[in-house]
Amino acid sequence: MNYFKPLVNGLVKENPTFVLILGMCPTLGTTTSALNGMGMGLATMAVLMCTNTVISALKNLIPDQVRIPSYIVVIAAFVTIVQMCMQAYMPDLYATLGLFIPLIVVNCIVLGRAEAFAAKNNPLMSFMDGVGIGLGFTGALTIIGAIRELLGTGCIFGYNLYPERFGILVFVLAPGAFLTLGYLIAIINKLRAK
Amino acid sequence: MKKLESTFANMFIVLTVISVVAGAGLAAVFEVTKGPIAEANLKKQQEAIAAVLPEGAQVGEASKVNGNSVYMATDSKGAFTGMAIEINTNGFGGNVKMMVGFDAKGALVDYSILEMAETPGLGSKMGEWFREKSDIRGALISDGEVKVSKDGGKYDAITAATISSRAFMAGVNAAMATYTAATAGMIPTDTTENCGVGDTTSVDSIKVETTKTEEVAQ
Repeated sequence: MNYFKPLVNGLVKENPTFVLILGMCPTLGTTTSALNGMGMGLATMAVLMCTNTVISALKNLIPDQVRIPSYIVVIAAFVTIVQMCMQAYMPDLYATLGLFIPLIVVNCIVLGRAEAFAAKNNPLMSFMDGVGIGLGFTGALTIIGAIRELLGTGCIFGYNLYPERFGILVFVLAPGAFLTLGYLIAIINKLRAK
Repeated sequence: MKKLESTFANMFIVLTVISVVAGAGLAAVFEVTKGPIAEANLKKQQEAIAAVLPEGAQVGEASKVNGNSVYMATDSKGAFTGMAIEINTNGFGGNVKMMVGFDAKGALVDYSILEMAETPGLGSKMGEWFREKSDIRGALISDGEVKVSKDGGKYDAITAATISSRAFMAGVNAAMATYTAATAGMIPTDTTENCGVGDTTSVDSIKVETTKTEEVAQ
């Protein structure tokens, strides 16, 4: 089996944000800056790698009719563990990202991958899928965050490129998230159609 | 291994076992991280106290005034040099916990946001905004309540986050009120050096004394 296939798959062919259009809530909500977007992406990736592996290992033990509650309990437990560890050992990172961590539980990418991939593949493949989808999500969120930050405040990753007063404030607000995401999906669909 | 059938017993057992294991895992991680989390919070709080007080101040034990934690600062001789006050205020996204420091003259030295859930990128800027964009440092308690410019005050609100800015101002005002309440009780012991013996026993003479010092400072 080719373990790199799910990696590329998650990054490009099934990019969760631009192709599957999953997990729009955190995508729209947390991409006010490139750093916020990247942090949210990496935290989601950490959770996704753990949940995919565990759910894949348990897939034969979980009866079909209770699989969704079982998956959600596993996901919620991992998210809370990540949150507590981050708070204890990386308080600086937690100060920036703490607000977003609980949102990962309701991110449909995590449940979606458990259902669509981990429940049908072996743990190692599922782990690689978690890495691939996680990287794709992180990349997408960083790009959206960078565009919104640049247009809205004139900075990228906090480095000022032009005076803030020329920034278009709407890009930092919610409508800017929809505009940026819409145009990016349009561009990517155009490229994919070729 | 074959997949388990969805019989009632199977579903019941699997769901119970998964929940119990998840619960036990969470409890274990909670126990392990409890100490470091408390330590990190305490360190953050102490750093915040040190940051909002005049330099070189020695910070005393916490005491409660108006329900808020108050940290008195003294210089090496034991004279009162300032006060850090931990305040909770209601922001746009819930509670905002902040540390506000004043010097002995009642001027705001600095502030620090300890906890908040304001909108990321907007209200969450309050940690820097009232230092870099609309500097609140140096605001005097004797000048009355602080307000954002929309409410007739002199501080610009954070762009697109007026509610968070008003919450911040409310927090600072609550801190100022706490400062006034706290100093009303403790100044007699501290000002005995400055004014005549026995003059400072009544509250009225204390107020006169504080006003004088402020005038000198201005």
